[in-house]
Amino acid sequence: MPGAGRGTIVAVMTETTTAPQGPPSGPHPSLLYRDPDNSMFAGVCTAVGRYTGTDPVIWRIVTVVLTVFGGAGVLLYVLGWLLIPKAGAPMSIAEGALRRRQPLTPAVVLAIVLVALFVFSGVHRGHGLWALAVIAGVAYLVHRDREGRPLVPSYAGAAGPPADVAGPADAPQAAPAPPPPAASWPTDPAAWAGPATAPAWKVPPAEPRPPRSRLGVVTLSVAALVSGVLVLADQAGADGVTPARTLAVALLVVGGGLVVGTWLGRARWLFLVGILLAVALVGTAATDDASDTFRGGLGERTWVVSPGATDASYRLGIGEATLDLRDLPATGRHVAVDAHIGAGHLIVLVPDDVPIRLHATARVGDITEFGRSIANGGERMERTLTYGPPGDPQVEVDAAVTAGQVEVRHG
Amino acid sequence: MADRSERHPRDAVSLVLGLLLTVGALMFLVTDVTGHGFDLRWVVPVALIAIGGLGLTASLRR
Repeated sequence: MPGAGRGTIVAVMTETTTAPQGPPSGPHPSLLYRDPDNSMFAGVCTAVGRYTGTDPVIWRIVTVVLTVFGGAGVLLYVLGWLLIPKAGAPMSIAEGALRRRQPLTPAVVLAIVLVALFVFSGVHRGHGLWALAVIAGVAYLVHRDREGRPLVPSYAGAAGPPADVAGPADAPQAAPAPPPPAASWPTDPAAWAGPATAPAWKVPPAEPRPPRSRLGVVTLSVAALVSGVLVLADQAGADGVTPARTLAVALLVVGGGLVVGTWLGRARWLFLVGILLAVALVGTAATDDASDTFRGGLGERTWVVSPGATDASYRLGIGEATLDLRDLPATGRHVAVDAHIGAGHLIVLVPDDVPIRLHATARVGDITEFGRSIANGGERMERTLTYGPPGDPQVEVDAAVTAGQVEVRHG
Repeated sequence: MADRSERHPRDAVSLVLGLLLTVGALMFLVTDVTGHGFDLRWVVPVALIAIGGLGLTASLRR
């Protein structure tokens, strides 16, 4: 969450037409405040959106996504609730609990977020660390970028904003800004009543917007072109091209566009595209793993390792397969065999006269050897078994099922 | 981009965000293609050292 920075209201006195009503005091002169009465929950996302000039929906989505992927969203929301003051309140809940007379500085707020980040990371074994780091970094950089710029339109006058620039009716009253040095503010409170005439508010002309950068469009176009070529290559059967890798390359292009924007053009919104691509990449990579696990189709298979083989690899998605090693001769020549079933029953027939080392794995299920269960009921069970005459193993077998049974039988 | 996307003062926000995405994508590709994972135990201490160093430097310069 961004730091609880306090925005400033630029005020320039021109001529006096109304009376200042009091000293420069009041609630937070910042756009960073919670307004729970006009928000969905505690008003944290609305406050951050108002402060950063972004749509609160973005922050709600980020919160939900981080909550689903590791639970960090809840932590950040609670931190925002504690650190962001409620509308009209002089300070936040955390500041009040700490009995502070001054609001927390952005650096202290950032430090609190980072400490929470590391504690959370420790509890969850690093899960969500990257997401928290990204959010904290983005929020801090946004805050820093805001420094030195008014968070609301500038207006002329020293005592307070006019109604049309003071924000929504439910917003806290912005504090009158201290006058510029040239316009000396009376130190005597009695003088705060001011002259009979009031200041005239004058909105200075808005600065012309810089021309819109084409960097973002160019970056997205390049990402689309590259992705299209990779998808075509994937469909043409090119080795090494997967949907996850295609998304990673697109993410690389988007990141490169942002880096270019450091010096040329500007398209910070590409980061949101990058976040979406990253989420899609994580999901696709998980799907790729799943599709690899269940690669090989359905049904029954018999895999006979031929006498001349030096290595062999077999896959079955769901079903029963028999890996027959009995034809392998005791020549001393090394043979590597790999057999994997997604869900089902893998039977390994081992000969008596060939030294074999068999590494059996069952992520869920059991491992049996000659009719006797040697591993079951656990998570990711692994056993390394040896058969045949003593000596260095001639045949190395990796037999695995994701869910089901690995069964070793004599030939 | 020559006419409308002119050079401007260095934008640290774009640099940091861009590097985050670029490094993340590169790490995924390297891990996925080569099968070698990254030992990320150094990330937390290096981040702490960097944050502490930057904070001290910024404070002492004021």
